[in-house]
Amino acid sequence: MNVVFLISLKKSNFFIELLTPDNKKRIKIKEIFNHLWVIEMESEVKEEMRKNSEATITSHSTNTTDSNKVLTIGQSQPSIFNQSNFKIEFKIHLKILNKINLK
Amino acid sequence: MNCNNINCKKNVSNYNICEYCSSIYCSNSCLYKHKQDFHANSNIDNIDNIVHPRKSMSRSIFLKSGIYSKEIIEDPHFDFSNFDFVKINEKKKILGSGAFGEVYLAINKIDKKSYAIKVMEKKKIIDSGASLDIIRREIDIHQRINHENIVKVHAHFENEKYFYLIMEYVNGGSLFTIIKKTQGIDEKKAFRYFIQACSAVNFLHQNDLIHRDLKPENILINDKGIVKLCDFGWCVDVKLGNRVTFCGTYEYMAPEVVKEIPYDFGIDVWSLGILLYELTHGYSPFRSEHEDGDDFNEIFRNIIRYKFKIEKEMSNGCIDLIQSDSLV
Repeated sequence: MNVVFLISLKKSNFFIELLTPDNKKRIKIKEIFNHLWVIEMESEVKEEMRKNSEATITSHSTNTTDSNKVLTIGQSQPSIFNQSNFKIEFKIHLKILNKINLK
Repeated sequence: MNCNNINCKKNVSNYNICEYCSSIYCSNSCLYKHKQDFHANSNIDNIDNIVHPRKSMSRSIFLKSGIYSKEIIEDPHFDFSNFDFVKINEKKKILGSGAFGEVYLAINKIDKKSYAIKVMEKKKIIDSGASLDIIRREIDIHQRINHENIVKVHAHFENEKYFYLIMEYVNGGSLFTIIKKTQGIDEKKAFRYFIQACSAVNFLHQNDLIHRDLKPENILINDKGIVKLCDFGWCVDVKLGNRVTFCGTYEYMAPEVVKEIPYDFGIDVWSLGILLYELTHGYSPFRSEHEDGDDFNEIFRNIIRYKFKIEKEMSNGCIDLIQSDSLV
């Protein structure tokens, strides 16, 4: 049993020595960008970025449609407000409509 | 079943089978290496099918180009009198400290932006046995570099007692604090930091420079997640010949540095391998198991014997790259 243990220990030491890192065999910095893991991760990151940009565009276009609706309801001149001020713009339009109704 | 790549021999969980000889590999990377080694020159008809994925893609989006200018152009905006040090409780706010001095936070009165000012005491430099010319060389190299992933040096001043470096302020802290806080981060996040550090190192190597002290403490992150490499104290121009100087941080030292044999760009690549391991694990692979964790003899023994274990669940590709960085 002890002999087997010693042999396996010697084998593992031998293996460690065999795997001593060699500078000449080491990957070059430029090759890291061509490593398959890097390529896989990069495509995942790209996909994530694409989804994020799509989400931004969708929310942006939704806002645009809503603000157009406001303009139709209010039937006023083209708004001087930008899309980010949509809520304020909507309130003002409602006030104008209320005033018209009161009259 | 183990991977057929003799340098890998990992347990195979996802089968990647060679269509020419049916041997089994743990990852696409091992399979690709095998095809290149054994089938690239064979007479198999459709050998053209061996196409590296990068060839069908454009250049990596993380690979940034930069400028290494021949001359230093001083900007008059960066006159030292234009800066106010930020103070907390009447003491200058320290961003970091090194062997020769501290880095302070300051505001430029003209553009109202924050900058980091590194102040190095000449007496400390001389007392440590270093020469002032080495510091002047460090400043010269760093000031000529202009790259997205490297901290920009805007100007420098020198008087009888001190060197002053006016640098870009990076507001997110260092990778070291992130690693210590999180005890290892997920692979995708680690990839984002790692690959940007690679971009900076690639730029240095393209310009014949070796950083020689890559470690999480020297990699800063801004609020947009952009990596900025700093501390060029050990940076050297490889055109001056093969290097043998024993330098760097113990746990990040390459075996050739430990053995004090001539080395080249490879030592930075080794350190990147250690960095990727530490990002994913939260600790470095060749650390000392002693209580104080600073037994350099044990660290060096571990490095030379290549004694480390992958202890976290990681993709085969990532493990392969860590081993490629340091071994193959």
